[in-house]
Amino acid sequence: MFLTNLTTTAATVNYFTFLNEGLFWAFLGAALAAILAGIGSARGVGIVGEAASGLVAEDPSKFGQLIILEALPGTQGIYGLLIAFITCLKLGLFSDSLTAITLEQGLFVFIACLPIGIVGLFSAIYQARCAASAVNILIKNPNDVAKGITLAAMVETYALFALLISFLMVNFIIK
Amino acid sequence: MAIVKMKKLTLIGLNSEKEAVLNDLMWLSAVDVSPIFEPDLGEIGVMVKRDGAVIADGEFSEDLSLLDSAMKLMGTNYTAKKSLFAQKEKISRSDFDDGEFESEVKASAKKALELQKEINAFKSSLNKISQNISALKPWVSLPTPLGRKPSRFSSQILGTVHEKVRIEDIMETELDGQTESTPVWAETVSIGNKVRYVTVIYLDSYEKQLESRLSELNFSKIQFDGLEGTAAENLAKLKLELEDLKAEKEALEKELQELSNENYDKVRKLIDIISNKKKITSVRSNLVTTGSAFMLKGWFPQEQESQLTELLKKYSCYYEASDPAEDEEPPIKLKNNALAEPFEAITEMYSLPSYRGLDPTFMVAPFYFLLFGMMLSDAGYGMVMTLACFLGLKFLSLGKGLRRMLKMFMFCGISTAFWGFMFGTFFGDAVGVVASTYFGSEIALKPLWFDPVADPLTMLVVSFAVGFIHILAGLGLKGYMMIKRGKWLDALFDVGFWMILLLGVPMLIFGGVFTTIGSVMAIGGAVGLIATQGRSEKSIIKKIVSGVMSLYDVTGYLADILSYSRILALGLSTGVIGSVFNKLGSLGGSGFISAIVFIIIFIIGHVLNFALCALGSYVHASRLQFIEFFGKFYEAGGQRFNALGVEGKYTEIIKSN
Repeated sequence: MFLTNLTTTAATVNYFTFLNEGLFWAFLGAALAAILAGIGSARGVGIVGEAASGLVAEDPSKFGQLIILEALPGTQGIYGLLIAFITCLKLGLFSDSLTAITLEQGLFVFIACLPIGIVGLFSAIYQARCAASAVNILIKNPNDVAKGITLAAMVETYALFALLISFLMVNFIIK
Repeated sequence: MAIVKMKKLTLIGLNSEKEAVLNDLMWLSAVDVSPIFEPDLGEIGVMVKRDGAVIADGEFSEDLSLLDSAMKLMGTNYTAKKSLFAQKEKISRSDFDDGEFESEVKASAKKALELQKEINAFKSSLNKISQNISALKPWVSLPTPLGRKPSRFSSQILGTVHEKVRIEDIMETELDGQTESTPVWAETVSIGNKVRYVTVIYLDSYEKQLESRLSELNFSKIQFDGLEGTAAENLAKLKLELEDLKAEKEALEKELQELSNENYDKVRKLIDIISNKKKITSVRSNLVTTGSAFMLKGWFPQEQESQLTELLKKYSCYYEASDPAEDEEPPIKLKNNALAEPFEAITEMYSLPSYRGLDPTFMVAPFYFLLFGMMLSDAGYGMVMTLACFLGLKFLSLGKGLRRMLKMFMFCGISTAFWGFMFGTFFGDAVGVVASTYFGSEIALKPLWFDPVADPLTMLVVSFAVGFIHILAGLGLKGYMMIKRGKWLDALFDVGFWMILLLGVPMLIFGGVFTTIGSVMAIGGAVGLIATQGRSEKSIIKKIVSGVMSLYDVTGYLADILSYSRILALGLSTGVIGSVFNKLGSLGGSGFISAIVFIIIFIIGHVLNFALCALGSYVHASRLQFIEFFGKFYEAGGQRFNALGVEGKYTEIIKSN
């Protein structure tokens, strides 16, 4: 309703007709999924990287294990990419013509993309903090680093759930 | 499937035989020596003292630190080619008593360190000479000798001024706007890097005035003490000297290199020998001793009892092997068949079981195998993984822990490939993409079962079903342990009723007879739980309240099962991301160049995707074991069985003589 109001007032100028396009909202959602989750992962990987370089300076042989810790918060960005890709695929971006969808469907797809975008953004940062603390485990007790990795991976559970619900929603909104 | 049964060893022997007994025990590798505390000994506690081995230990540490630094030095100077796949050198017990070898290797280790010291001395004198050479270079064209007065009444000084200072500024002074010449002659020798190298000759009587003039011009004096002859002569001499020193240094370096090539492996061998000898001395601090006898306590696996008695028979000592007492916690050694054994790594990552608990590895193994495979689920990745691990095990010389890990991933790769074919993924959708882009055909790898991306709800149900079975297995183990301890009723109340309830609920959705049976089971189980879960409370009301409250745990089981939806999520992420890279690569069409681009993107993309998804599967399959599965029954907290035994870091130690 809000949208129809907005577009009718704008109709005279004709700038905002794209807001009536379902495809606009769907692609906006796909972009947001990739953007938000990507920002989260970039920040997260950065946080762990900072903590890790201190240790690399002292003991370069730990580099391999540190890379694993640093990679952990990188997955959210991938989940965002995954949803963006699935959405684009469903919208026919990679085929000859775009799928025709209604405004309603487009808005639903937009909403469907939010879980992985938002949860991805925050969970990557929280997971990164956990992984950065696990760097301490690596310093004090290198044999137990797998436990640190598991602790950090617990945070990722919720990004996985968000991915799942985003995927199911997108999958069933556009047949 | 088991925790190895342990027995306790108490041994009293003569001090004269102590070294020999400990040595033999080390080569048997069967006894985990535990420390004896004097107060635990009661009356005899006052008669004994702790067996110290401080001095000998110190000697070994000194040798080890010498050998360690020699090894590092030799490692950097080592030029002989060594294959990555080289097998470790083998040493046996007779090598341990080879004193000649030991002193020979120690001598070459010392020699190497001395050579390094000499080389360093050469390096620093070489540095000095090169510095002198670069200082002399600007003065090459100066014809006058450096260290001599030009005449009786005049002197020469050398130095630098800024490039912009004119030579006339040195020779003339300004008085009332008139330039006036002075008894000074200056000349530019060379110019370099904004600096003018000048020689100044002056009458000795004018020295004071010249000095103040020069300091105004920021002249900095350069002196070549002890040098005679011209700069060019000196330079030639120094260059000769430099060549000589370089040659000598190179000879030393060559010697060090040869020494390293010859001795690197020997030094590593000796390090292994000495660190093992050091173990005996450090284990001695766990013993107590009187003037002529010693006492040792420790744990050993029951299966090795005959070997141990065989060994101890040779000595005039008293020993006793007893079963662990109720309040004792023997160390833990796990034993599983060849298929399950690699998965001990997962159990150990969480914690070892307590001695009276249960080794869950026999259950962890199949479920980990299944879960990992379903999560990664790509036929291509699975085959690559199995092959890589197989080759690694065959050709690389690896430590025990790493070998076990590789074996586990080799098995998991098989499961991954299996599920990949079930779900129709081979490097994502590579088969279909290659076929349609380059051959124009519609061939694709058809899933043997179904495609989770197209039919995610079915996959979700499959994931929950796997989780349901996993959790029931966990509950089953809990019941098994209770029954083993004779708590039949507890097993029925705490496990049996829950199983009935949990099995009944999913039957409700099948309809017909199943729904009827299911509802009977669910209600029966729930009633059973309400009746029994409050049995430890005293008043009737409390019994009923806690019985009803216990049904709240249903939400816990529900959450556990929902947690298995990550199987679907991780499987999707492997398949879809792989397809994204295939799509990216195939965007260029079917030409020759785009085929090369496709191959490059394919390799980079799939390596990346494989690395991230394999890590994810490893971690999340572990998590499902630790939280959802272990949470039901596992009693953790055992200490690892750590036998006094020989161990090689750089070599493989052969136990039989």
